[in-house]
Amino acid sequence: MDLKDGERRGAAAAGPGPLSRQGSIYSLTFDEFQTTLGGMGGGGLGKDFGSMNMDELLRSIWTAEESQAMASASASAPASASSSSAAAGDAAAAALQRQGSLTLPRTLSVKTVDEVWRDFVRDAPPGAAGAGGAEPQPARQPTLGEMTLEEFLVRAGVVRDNPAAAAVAAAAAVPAQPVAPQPIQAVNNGGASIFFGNFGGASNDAGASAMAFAPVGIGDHQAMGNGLMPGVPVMASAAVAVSPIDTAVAQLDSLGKGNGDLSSPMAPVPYPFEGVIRGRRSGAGVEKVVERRQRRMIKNRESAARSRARKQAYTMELEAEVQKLKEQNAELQKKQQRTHCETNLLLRCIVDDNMCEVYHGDAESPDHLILQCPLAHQFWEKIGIMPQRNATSSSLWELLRTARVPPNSYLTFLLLCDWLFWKHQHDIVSGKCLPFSTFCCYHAKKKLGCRDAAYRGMSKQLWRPGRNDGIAEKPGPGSHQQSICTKEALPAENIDWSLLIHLSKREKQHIYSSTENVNDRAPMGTRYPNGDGYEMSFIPMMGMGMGMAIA
Amino acid sequence: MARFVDPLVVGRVIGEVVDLFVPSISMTVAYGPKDISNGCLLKPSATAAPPLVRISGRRNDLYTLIMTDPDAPSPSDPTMREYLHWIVTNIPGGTDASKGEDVVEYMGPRPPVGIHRYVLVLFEQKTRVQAGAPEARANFNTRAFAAAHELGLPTAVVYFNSQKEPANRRR
Repeated sequence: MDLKDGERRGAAAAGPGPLSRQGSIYSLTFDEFQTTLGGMGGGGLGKDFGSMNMDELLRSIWTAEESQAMASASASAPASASSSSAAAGDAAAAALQRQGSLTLPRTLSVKTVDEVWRDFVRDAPPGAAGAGGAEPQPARQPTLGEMTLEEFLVRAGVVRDNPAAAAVAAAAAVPAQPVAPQPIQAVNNGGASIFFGNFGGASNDAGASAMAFAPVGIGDHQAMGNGLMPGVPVMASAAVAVSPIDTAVAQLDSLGKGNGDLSSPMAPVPYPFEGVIRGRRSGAGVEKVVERRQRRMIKNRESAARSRARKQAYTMELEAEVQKLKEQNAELQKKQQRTHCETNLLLRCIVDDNMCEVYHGDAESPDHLILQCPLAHQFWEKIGIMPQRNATSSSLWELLRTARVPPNSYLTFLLLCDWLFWKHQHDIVSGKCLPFSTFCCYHAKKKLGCRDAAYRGMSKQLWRPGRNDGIAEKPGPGSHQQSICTKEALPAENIDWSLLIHLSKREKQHIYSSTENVNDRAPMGTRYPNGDGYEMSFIPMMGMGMGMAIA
Repeated sequence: MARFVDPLVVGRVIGEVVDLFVPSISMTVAYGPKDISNGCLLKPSATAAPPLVRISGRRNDLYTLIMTDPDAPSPSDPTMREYLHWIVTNIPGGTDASKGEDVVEYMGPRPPVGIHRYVLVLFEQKTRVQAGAPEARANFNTRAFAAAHELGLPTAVVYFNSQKEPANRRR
């Protein structure tokens, strides 16, 4: 019998011996099997398969198998777990006892896998396989299909973790009911009469994994569509489907033995299986264990999704930040390049070198022009502000205020000083005067002083509208800008400049007091150009600073 | 000025704590010297003291700051969502949270399990708010609070993550 059995598996086409199948439940068709089970009501199971849980189903099959085959439980585990050829060779004594478990129903073994699969799909509920059709057992299929998506995913996930296991699942899924429990039976022949009574060694692994595949085999139609079918295309009959099971079992067997313990990470058994085995030992129901495992896996997946989202969110935030800073940087660089210093002029090929023309030797960058040039430094120090040696133009607004400057308009004051100094440098370069830092201090005083009267009028007009002290011309009604434009000291179109002066009216006093302290000499006999292009060209350069100061 | 809102969507802050909004105020949250960015991971020990929360906005407008933990006690089972950590009301625009009135004292993150999100939400007030402290910190609802005090949609949200620090193991 066993020889025949092995031969059938090997040839994959031979018809099954009718006699050998008589006693086995596997020779029953599904309908027969179900009615048989229902009839004998194994443990009060009057229901159909669809409404059973896995535990009940397996238990009932087990009892059915036992009562039908009358096989004694003496076949040894290694023999049953070994591959079919080995079993054919060495387990002649056990053959008769095991034949019940290894024979297959005629209905299945005479069909090709394709046929079986087609039947299977046709029978499947529309929700699971997408193909409604002629349904031989309409009552059963929907209940089997009641498996929730979560359960389905979890089970499919378990199987996907192990390629060999997946193959088994695919094979087991073809002859839906009869073959799925088979490995369990084979394995547990070596144990006691209850399920998984024996926990030592490899049979455990195999049993546990087979146990886990079984639900997939029943409910998981998609696992087969998952590229698993092409893996077993030569299965001419369902009988062949048994051999992958055996090899998988053998594989689990050898690995399990090699590792010695179940919790070893090398074991091919995925992590959750451990829980099954432990749960089984405690005597708790399979369902509870499976449920717990599912919950843990779902939690795990959720947590992984959260982790991915977290990472992605943080990456997005950083990317946005980088983008913002890049734009800001580009903006600032553009502003920096607008300054008409020698370095920027050189970039535009207007001058031949970028040496500072006041103190030759250093490159004239905006920083140098405003703060770092020795002349500039001297100027700031004389006013009472001590810039750092390597101060940059952007740090102009962070220069420490001296006690004499009122805090409110300090930025305007800085801007004004800057402007005066820049004009002085311009004069030096154009040969109108020699470098002398008190020079511009003097002019700061002089220029502001001579305009004082005019501005007094303007400011009064601004702050106390309607009153005119007679010094300034009577401004026209309306905007003060108009009135400024009529004054001869100011270029008509230079509105920014007038605003600047207007805002700095409180600083005028200070510039007096600060220049009083320094050695205030007469200018070198040069007339200071008043209201000409210098001022005009300066305004755009300090435009950004102006904005800051005025705002 | 306004912060980028996508990280909040991906981090599921928008959805689980607040509704979709358009940031109109810039809010920077600094524990120590560094500003935190959305989704960064901070240690509970580094966040024990209240952060410096600076906001933009006009001086005349008042703002409310709320800090909650939508992942209490565990991210996979947030039965206490949201756990309240801080409420400051009547913060003038352009200042920081210390200029407002503490309605609920700051409580540093102490996540028992998993990685928790801690969300700081800024609302613009229509008027001065006299908010009473809720009875319990657990099961606070930012949306409900905002509705009760007519705060409308948030104007700025910053969130960070925090995880329980492993105990020192000595052998």
